[in-house]
Amino acid sequence: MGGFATWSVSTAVFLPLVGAILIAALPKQIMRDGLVYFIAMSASAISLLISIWIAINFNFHSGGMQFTVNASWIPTIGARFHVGLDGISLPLFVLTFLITMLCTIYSMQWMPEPRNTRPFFALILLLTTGMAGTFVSLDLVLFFVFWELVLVPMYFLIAVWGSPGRREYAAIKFFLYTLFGSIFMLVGFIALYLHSNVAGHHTFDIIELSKLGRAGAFSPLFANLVFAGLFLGFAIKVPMWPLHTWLPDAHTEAPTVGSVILAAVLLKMGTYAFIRISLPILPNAARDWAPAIGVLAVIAIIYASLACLAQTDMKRLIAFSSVGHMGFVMLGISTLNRRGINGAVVAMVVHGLITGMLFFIVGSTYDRYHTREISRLGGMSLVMPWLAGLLAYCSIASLGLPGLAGFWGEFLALLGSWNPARVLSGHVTLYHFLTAFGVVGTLLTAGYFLWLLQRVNLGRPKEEWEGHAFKDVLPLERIAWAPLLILILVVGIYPRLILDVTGPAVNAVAHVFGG
Amino acid sequence: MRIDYAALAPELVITGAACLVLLVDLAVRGRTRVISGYIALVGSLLAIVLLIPKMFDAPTSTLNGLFVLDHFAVVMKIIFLAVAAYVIWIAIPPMRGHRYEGEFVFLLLCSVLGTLLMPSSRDLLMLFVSLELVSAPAFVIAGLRKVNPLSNEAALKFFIFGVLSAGIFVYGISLIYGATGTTSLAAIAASPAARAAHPPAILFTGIVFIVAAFGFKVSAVPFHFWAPDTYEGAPTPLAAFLSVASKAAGFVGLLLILYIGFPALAKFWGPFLGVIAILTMTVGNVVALRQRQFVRLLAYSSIAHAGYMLIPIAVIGSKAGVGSGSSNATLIRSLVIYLAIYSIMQLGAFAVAIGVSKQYPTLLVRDLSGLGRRAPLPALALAAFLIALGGIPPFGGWFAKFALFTAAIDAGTSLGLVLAIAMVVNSVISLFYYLGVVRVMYLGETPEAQDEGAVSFPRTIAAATALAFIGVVFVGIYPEPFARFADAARLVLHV
Repeated sequence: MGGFATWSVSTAVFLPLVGAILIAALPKQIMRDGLVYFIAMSASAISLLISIWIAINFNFHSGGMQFTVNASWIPTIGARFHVGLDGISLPLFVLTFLITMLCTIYSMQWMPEPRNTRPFFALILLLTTGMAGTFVSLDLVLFFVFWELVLVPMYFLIAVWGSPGRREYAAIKFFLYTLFGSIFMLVGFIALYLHSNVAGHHTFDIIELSKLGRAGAFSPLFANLVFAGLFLGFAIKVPMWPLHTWLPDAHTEAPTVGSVILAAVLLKMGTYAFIRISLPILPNAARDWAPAIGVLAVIAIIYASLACLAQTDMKRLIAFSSVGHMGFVMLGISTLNRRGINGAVVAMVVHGLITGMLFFIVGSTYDRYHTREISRLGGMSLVMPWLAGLLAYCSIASLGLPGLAGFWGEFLALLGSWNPARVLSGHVTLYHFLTAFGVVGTLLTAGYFLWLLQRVNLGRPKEEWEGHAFKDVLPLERIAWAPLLILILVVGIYPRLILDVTGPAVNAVAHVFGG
Repeated sequence: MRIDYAALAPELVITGAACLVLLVDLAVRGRTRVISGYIALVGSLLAIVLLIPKMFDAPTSTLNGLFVLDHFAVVMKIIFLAVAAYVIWIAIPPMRGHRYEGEFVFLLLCSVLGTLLMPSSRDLLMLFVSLELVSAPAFVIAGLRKVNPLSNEAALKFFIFGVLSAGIFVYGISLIYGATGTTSLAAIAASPAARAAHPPAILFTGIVFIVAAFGFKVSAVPFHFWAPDTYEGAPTPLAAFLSVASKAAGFVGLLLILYIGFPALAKFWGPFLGVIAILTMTVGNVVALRQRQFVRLLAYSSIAHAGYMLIPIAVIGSKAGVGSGSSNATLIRSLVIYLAIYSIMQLGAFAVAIGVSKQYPTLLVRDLSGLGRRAPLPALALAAFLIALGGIPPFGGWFAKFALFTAAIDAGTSLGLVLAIAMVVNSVISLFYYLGVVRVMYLGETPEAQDEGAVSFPRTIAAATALAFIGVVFVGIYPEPFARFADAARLVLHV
């Protein structure tokens, strides 16, 4: 590979950053809203096209890294600019740009108050670079930089454009939780670096460290301590129960596109990091920790669905449902086998599509009713049949109806958990229980989603809305949503669209565990 | 005695520039007095140019070993001179037409001369001279705004604390001389008293006194009380200088004395400095949370950063075999990296403060509200400096913290680990007030409703801000050249 192929990944990652700088730096006189939209749109669209081009030219039979660049960056501390994609990161990479572009389109219709388009889009583009960069980094320092890059823009998106009231509290809670976790993560990274030895040198390289990990270079105690540090950093981002409490607040207070990005992409950084960093570099510690992670994941599933049943705010309900869905992802990861991890990756992507879409719908519902109180909604199918229909479609997809995308990830994760990786053979009974409780979780999930539909879509509109003219789905909303809606169906019918991509890379990860 | 004038060239250039400023300032009147600033600027840049070739020469010493020019000294001097040049540059607009415009430049150059002597000193007396040369002119500058009571308070507080610490320092020197019979650092290290299994108590007292004196210089807790008042009252360019160059000089002096003079007593001063470091960063950050005045906020933030920068010195002390050189290279390097990157962030923030102070002399944080709309580019730059000070990528500060953190953990001592964790916890606290300012700039309502016009920045300040902004972005994305530069700072124990 040469020429553009080599630098395509970096171009896609940094193009939004260039867009952000342009938007921020150009003088006010020429930066009308139209130009801001244009720059934001073209940056995300071109990045998306590049990522699709990468996907087209991707070798789906290889489990290794492709489109890699390994250039010198900070040799003094042994950090390199090492990026690349494999089947696990590619779907998330494409998803990142897709979601950003759709959010840009959506914001043309619904720009949150206080409008101020310039900083808003500059921050979204900055966020995009951070998220996309996280998914392609193969160097721990680079990973850390991208990981942290996400914090500040998200903080401001929530604190400035969030719903009035508790937005600053939610923003600072998000910020502190994540920062708190990332400190431990950083300590873990540095410990790995200082304990690594490749031909007499320390290394931050994820691939090199994975090789060392497979060869058993890290002592059990050290590996478990480092795993604990990384676990804190990643689990807060996921978020896993009981570290999830920042998420309902952040989601509820964030502007619509903020919630969409948060749910669709940001959370995946945590689960992705488990698969990319914790499992390959510290396989033995992962084996020791896996049952605990599985238990926490199942608690998250059950807890989140019970919490959902108790919610009165529609957005908060979707936020809690995210905790549950991420629980399925973590359950898949905790199986350490092919099926489970494949299921986890599929569930990550699919959750991005479905829950991202649900947050769009909740946002649009709010923009029409100016309330998210479920008790004040009702009869939406009568006043806005299209919006109500889409809500039904996505809710049913989210609860895992076969034929729509939500089914496959959770199905595979549960299937994997019945028969975990060989290294976990001592815990088979425990995993059987996990499967059983996971299934109960899916039933509860179906319960709260159907109940939501009943309360929001069915019945008659409340009296307070009498004579109120509702606009059903608008043209720009259609454009912004169509790709997600189509993908939900396509992945549901033909899951190999993702599974064929992830397969070989997941095999490479699961191989160590005899799964 | 042969004097190696080539080694002393930067000091001679600065001395010459200072004298020239005095003479020229007598001769010119009115707006042309600004020429003294440019003389100082050219002098500092010339001194940097003279120093660059020394990066590739072997370490030398002159004046009977009192003055050593090793690579550590060269690197530190380049940093000091660059800081001096920057401060002189951003001082030109606010000092223009000031009654003491020329005197300000002259005094600042004298202080710069002190900072230049510091990293070359290998003798307690020489260190004393350097330290006082840094401080004494600054006492005067702090009081230059004669009719302003805040400025008077600033000068007086600074003076009293400064003189007290000078006295303590000399007393400490006398105790050490009494115990060891020498003032040369190398000789102290080799003296029987310092190497004894049970060193005499006065040696410990001497070390405590010296740490106290330098604690004043670097504004470490509990010797920090002067700093916020002085920064607020003194001309703002001086505050920039004190919080960067003068502070850095203090760290250099402390490192030289403890590292070269008392390696055998590291078991004592390592933990001692560790405690001071934790106190300093915590008090600095917690008190900064409550500040309403921007320069005071920067003052407390600079106290917190002093706490971080004490970490490498303390950790050196916690390691076995302190004097063995190479094993401490990473820690010294991390200190130099931190000093260099901190200088950029802090000076950039001060440059914006000076720019705003033209319209809002009180410089309350509230005065910055709406700056994001009223001066978009300086506001963007200030946001970058503050986020960098907080240590969040992609702006430069993260690398400084990262290097320090890695070095502290790499040392493998429990003190290193404790200090590293204290630092990250404090970094989180600090983000509250850094982001608070950013929030005010972009979200705050402007103080008066009619006050929505653009905030005009003098062109010099805008250019200086832009330079620091480029620096902070560059360091954040590609820190390697900085790391290389700091890596060259090899401290030589014996020449």
